Amino acid sequence: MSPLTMNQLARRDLLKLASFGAGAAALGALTGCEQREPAASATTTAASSRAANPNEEYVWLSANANLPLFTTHDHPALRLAGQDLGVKVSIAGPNSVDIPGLVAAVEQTTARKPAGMMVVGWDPSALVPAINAALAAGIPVVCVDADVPASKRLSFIGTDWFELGVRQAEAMVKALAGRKGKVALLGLIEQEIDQKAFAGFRSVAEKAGLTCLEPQQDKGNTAEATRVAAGIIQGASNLVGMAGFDSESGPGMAQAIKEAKQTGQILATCVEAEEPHLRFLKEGVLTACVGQKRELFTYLGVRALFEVNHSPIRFTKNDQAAGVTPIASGYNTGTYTVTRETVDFFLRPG
Amino acid sequence: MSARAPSRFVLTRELGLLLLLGVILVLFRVLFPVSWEKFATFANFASVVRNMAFEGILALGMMLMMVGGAFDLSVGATASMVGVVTGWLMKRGGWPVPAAVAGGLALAALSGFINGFVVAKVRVNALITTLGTMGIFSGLALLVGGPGITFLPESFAIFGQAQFLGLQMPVWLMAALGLAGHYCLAHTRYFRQFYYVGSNPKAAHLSGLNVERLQMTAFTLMGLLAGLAGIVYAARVSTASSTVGVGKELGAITACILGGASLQGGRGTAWGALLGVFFVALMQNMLLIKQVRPEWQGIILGLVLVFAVAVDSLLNRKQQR
Repeated sequence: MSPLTMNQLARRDLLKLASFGAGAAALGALTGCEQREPAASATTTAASSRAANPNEEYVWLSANANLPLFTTHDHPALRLAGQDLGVKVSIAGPNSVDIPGLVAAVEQTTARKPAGMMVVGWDPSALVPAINAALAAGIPVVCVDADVPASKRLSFIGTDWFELGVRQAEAMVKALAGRKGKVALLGLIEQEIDQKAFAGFRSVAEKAGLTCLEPQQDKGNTAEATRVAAGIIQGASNLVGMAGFDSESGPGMAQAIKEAKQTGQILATCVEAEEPHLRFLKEGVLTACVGQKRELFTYLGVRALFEVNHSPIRFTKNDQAAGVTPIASGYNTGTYTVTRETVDFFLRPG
Repeated sequence: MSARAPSRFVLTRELGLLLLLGVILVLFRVLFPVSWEKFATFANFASVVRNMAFEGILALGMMLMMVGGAFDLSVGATASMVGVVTGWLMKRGGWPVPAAVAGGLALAALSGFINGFVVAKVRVNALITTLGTMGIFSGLALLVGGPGITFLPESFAIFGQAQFLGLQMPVWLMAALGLAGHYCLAHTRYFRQFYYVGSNPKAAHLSGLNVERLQMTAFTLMGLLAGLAGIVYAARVSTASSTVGVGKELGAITACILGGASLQGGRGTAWGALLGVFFVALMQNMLLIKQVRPEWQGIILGLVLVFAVAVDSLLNRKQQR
């Protein structure tokens, strides 16, 4: 008789689990628990002429490591950087938003002593000790996409989220053409980057006479964003706009606006310019999508770490001992705004 | 065998939840008359039920699982995977819409069957099995769907976007499945066996019930319903998203417990599952309309959920004495 209730986990079950888990782990590896890209053949770039070692390995670490945004933009650019420089690149980290799992991945990668690490700062405090320990072990670490400013990371490479909020507000104010009213904000409200974006948005929108509502949580899920946006549409009077700040906010808000038959009445802007976003933009439900230049996060990340190891530029007799690095302390990778006029440049054929 | 089929107690628990909902609605109307005017409209009601349909369909399957004494953590991942595979088949595979939907549903049933087989035949705990398949199905959804498959055919989208009496198709589908589920659990001999299995699987086995087959049936139906939820959601938004089901399994389990199910099995009704989902959806909607800060929304919702289940538990103990 099979035990059914969850509090009846027997040792026998655990043994069976081990074999079942092994199969799952094998499939998990296929889906990218840790993916090592083959060392690319050396190219003729200036950088590779500076003694690139084909065994030199640069590791990108993130939670939710197989998020579609990552696999579509960040990972291909990572591989490209590896090919350009003739070095190994690899991907590590849990496939869910598992912060302890990410911390463990950083610590385990440190033990392997790679040539450098790029860490996506999912948590600005929990990652500090692991990043600092890697640096103390002599491994250069940069943060990409999201920062851990309290750590000793050498650089942050990513979007300026305050500026991203400004771009969204500018697009909305322009499209509203003088209309005044309330604007709802959606996103992952606990994330520091979203808070910066809210501030950036407010800095422009409020000057233009718009009233920004309290930001609402959409949990980074399209269905949840739709539910939250639908409730706001029903509840807020004189709502003229919505702005979304996580990757799923845009399609979720747009679906709610469309179903409430408020297209054109409530304008919406969002972050990211993926196929689901662009579809709503083309339909006229979304007004503008502000895309991040995500490919630059990993491409510049590998190059920055490579420079730390190989740069001919010296500032002191011993830069490492003096705590000086040959890279910029921050790289703002910038944004681009997609509108109905330019959407066809971004949509993939078919 | 001490099975508890839909009894007076279960009905009382559901009525208790309805009563609590009534009290909350009256308080909302009295305390916040301006917000009430925005809340008590047909457009808002339609919006609430439209947005609860996905979770409602999952909760119906989950209720059958919980009546039988198990649960399935892979339902959200199954919904995502089946949605993107169906979208992929019609958009990139060139399959006609009915064939793609049939293919998606077959995959959904197969996913549920695999869960059921591992639990019932290989005898791995349901929690562990479905935790493992949740990871597998999520990974497959990401591999197939990437950032999402868009611009699905109009002839498919109509299944999720057509309206009848002002309500969209997913709402009617949820209601029809709820009625069918209620009929099956309350009035058919075959489905009433799940109450016996959930109450005491060993006794059910000794009394001649084919427990393994019932378990596999429950998992297969759960997979089928999860897949259907994923397909209908993809039709509603004309896009198959590889992450749409993330976290939905816990919402479905919470709604079932709120609506009368027990983690120990043997209790629950189909309409209790839908009532649980509706209760949570209405609470969330009231808080949004009142523009309560999200941090407080979580606290208030959590307190009401604990209060509802605790009161029921106390009443239950009193009745048993």
